[in-house]
Formats: sequence, structure tokens, C-alpha cells
Amino acid sequence: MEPPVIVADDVGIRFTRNRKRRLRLRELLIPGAARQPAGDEFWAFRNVSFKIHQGEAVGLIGANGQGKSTLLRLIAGVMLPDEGTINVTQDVAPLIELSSGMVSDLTARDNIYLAAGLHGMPRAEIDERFEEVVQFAEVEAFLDTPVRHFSSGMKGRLAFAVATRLDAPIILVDEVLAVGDRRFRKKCLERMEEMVGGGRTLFLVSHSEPDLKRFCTRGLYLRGGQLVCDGPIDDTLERYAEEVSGG
Amino acid sequence: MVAIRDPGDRVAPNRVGGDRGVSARLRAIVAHRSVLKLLITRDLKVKYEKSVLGYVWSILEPLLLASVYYFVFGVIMGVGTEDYLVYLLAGLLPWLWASSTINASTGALTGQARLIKTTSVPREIWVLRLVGAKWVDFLLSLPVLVLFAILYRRAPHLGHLALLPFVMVVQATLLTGIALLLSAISVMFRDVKNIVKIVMRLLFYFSPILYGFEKIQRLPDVIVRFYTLNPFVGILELNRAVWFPDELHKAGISWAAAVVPTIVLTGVLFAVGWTVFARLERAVLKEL
Repeated sequence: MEPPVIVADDVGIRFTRNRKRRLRLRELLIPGAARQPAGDEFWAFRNVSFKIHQGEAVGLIGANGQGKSTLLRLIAGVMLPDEGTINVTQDVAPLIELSSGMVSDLTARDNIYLAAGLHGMPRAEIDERFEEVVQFAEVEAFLDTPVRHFSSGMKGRLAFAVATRLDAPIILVDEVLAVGDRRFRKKCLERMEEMVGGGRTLFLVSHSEPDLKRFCTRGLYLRGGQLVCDGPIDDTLERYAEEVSGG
Repeated sequence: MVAIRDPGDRVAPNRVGGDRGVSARLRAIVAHRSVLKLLITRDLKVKYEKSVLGYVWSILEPLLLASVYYFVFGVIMGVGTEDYLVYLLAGLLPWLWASSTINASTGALTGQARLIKTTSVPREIWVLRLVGAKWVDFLLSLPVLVLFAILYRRAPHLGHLALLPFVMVVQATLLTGIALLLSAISVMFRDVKNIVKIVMRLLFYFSPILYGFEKIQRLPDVIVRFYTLNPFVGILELNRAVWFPDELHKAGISWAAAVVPTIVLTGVLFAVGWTVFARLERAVLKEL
């Protein structure tokens, strides 16, 4: 069997309850000095371990505030765990907070180049895919309009189009299907299906059971700061449903 | 169906940050140099291409400042040195590179929060981009200095001119250290921005810009020692020595003596900035 593409080993991350975090000088300069218990800190989750192999489609399930999005951010590398390690051996296309990845003063055209460029795609390659992205996002008429004039649906479409054309082998999707109208949603789902069919690894956060069942084969269930269930998607959904209904 | 490409030719996967050593971090930054280039060219494009007066705007500030200082100190108070306008510009241009970088560094991360939260490029890139873009601004402002030097018929001292690239590298390193430190800290304490603004304004007068270091050397030893704690002293003196080689002479120091304290301070500040940035990265990402 091939080595896994995502390995989470005893991962934990904590946040501060009140916004004003006090910084100590030694925390700045001495490694390890930050490991002090503080009353106003809490763990979003701890001891989360799993291995994901290439081509797996994983659904992340849990009530609001259980750390699903945070876990996705850790995999995307835009947040760092406070304990444990997350190893991702392949390139990741994060579809998280889609519209916030756009710079509102830049035009749609510039945003496409910026987003793909930040991902490390060479300019020539972006040129090649540019048309395709624009067509998928349906923003042909607004290419030179600053994104701040876009509706949230348009921004979402543009970001989805760019992110899915990055051709990254791992795709992280966080509730992005909420943007866009019914028609675009359908288009997105088809695009995602195509990508999963093409052997990509998918990590999906969703509250939509049909979507989860449609794409995912495996389910991870986060509750109370722990990974309580890791198994086939149907079993995980069942367990979640049971617990929610007070079972 | 889209075939999966081997990511080998792409930027390495997103294992950047965390408790990784200096060399791993450096390698990640080098691997993302294309992203750095992209960001810097974009900054410059926005500034110089999109507005007709782009270049004029960027040299207008040093020119206006230099004329005002020239008028106040050279004409009204009559304390200016020989060819005072060139003298001022020679110190003012590198100073503006420094002060604009340091002032902007407090917003280097907070201002890009959206992009930082959605892309996993090494976070140092956002700071390097600032230093780099301002460096280019500085280079683009140098023709103004050369123009006035020609008007005043001043010839450059070739030995000091040859030293200038090295001096610029020292300044860029120093600014990177300071910017790394301030960018991370100001995410945690939003007040830092205001403090930095005031400190930079004061530091202007405690740097050899309106006057030369030799004026300071006449003061008591304690003051001189305190004054040379400012790492910009050596940098500014050496910049000016290109057009006024007597400067160092008058101060009774060799160029080496001018640059050694600056290099030491640069090393220290860079190490502190680098360490603090790495230590705070985790908290910064949560706070953004």
C-alpha cells in the first residue's frame, strides 16, 4: 500500500477565551516557555490522529464549534497545531473561506493571477487555464471590475473556479457549496465529483447528509474536542444522528 | 477528467512553519521565491503603472522634504554644509527607505490577513515582500540624487560607491529583522503601530541626516556611545560618503569603523526578529 498523504498524529490546538492574550517576553525568545497552563485557554480538540491515503474521500462531521474548520485549516497549513504533528505530503487546494481569499481592490483578472500565483502556479500555466477559470466562474463580463463590487455569489464562484483549477491532488472543502445559486451549486458538485473520480483526495466539511453520502466513503466525527468516530461514512453519520437525537 | 500532475515541479507542499529549524524555514522561503517575486512586482505595478504620476509621486516626497529642510536649515538658519541639498538627499533617501519599511511593517501581516489565512506560503514572505518593494523604491529614487549631484558638479568617490551594494544589503537585512519583529508583535498588540510611528519620527533627528556624525563626535562620550546604538548611523554615513568622502574623514573614522557597529547591531536585530517571528507564528495565525 502506498504511504498515506495526510498523517495527523496526536494533534491538538487551543485558543484563548478572551481576546487579550498576554505576551511574556520569555515566551517570545525561549522555546517551550509558552507551554504554561492558563485559565482562560481551552483546547478546541486534542489527541486527534488519522491517516488518509490518496484517493480517499473523507467527510468531517460534527456540530458547530467542534473544530471542523480548524482541523481543515491545520491540514491546509494556514494554522499550526499546538501539539502533535500534521504531515501533508502533497499539494493542497484549500476551498475554505472562499471569498475572503480575494483582494477586494484588485480586479477579477488580477485576483485569478494572484491566487494561482500564490499557490505556486507559473504564469504561463495560469495563462493557459485563464479562459477555463473565467468561463466556469461566469465572470467574463466583469474581468476588469474590482472584486469589491462583486456579489458574494460571484466572489464564491470565482474562488471556487480558481481553487479547483489548481490541479492540487488534495482538496479541502469547507461549506463552500453554500454559495451560489442552485444551478452553480450543481455545477460545483459535478466538478467535485469529477475531481474525486480523477483520484484526488477530498476532505469535505458539510452539514448536508446527501452531499456527504454522495462524495465521501469515510467519515470523521468530532465532538467535545475529541475524534470520537472514524469509519465508513454511513456508520459515522448514523452515530452522529443517534447522538444528536439524544440517544 | 483532469490528470493529477506530479507536484514535484510545483512549490513544495505546505509544511511551512511550526517548530522547524532555521535551515528548514530558509529552504521553504527559497522554494517560494517565485511567490515573493510575484508579490513584489504586483506592488510595484500597482504603484507605478496604474497611476500616471506613479514615479513622480514616489520621488515627490523626498524632493519636497529635502527642499523644506534645505530652506529651513540651509537658508533660514544658515547651518547647512557645502552643497547642502545633495547632502540632505544622500541621507534622506536611505532614511526614507528605512522609515517607510518600518512604519509599514506593523501592518505587513494584519493588512494581508485575508490572504495569509487562505494560503500556506511561508509567513516570512509577507515581510520580505515589503522590504523588497521598498528597496526597489529606493533604487528608483537614486536618479534624483544623481541628478542633483550633477547639477552641483559633485563627483562620486569610487571606492565608497563600490561599497554601496554591500551597504544596501546590510540595510535590507537590518530592515528585515526589524520588520519581522514588528509585524508579528503588532498582531498581538495593536498599539505597537502608534509607538513605532513616534519612535521613527524621533529617530529621524537622532540619525545623521540633517547633520553629519562628526557633529555628534564633538559631544561628550556618553552621548556618542548612546548615539551609535542607532544602527542607521553607519548606513547613512556610508551612503553619504559616496558624494562627500570627507565626511568620514572629518569624523575621524574609517569606513570600517563606521560599519562595524552597524553590522553587529544588524546581526542582533535580525536574530531577534527572526526568533520572535518564528515563536509568535502560531499565535499570530490564530489572532489574524
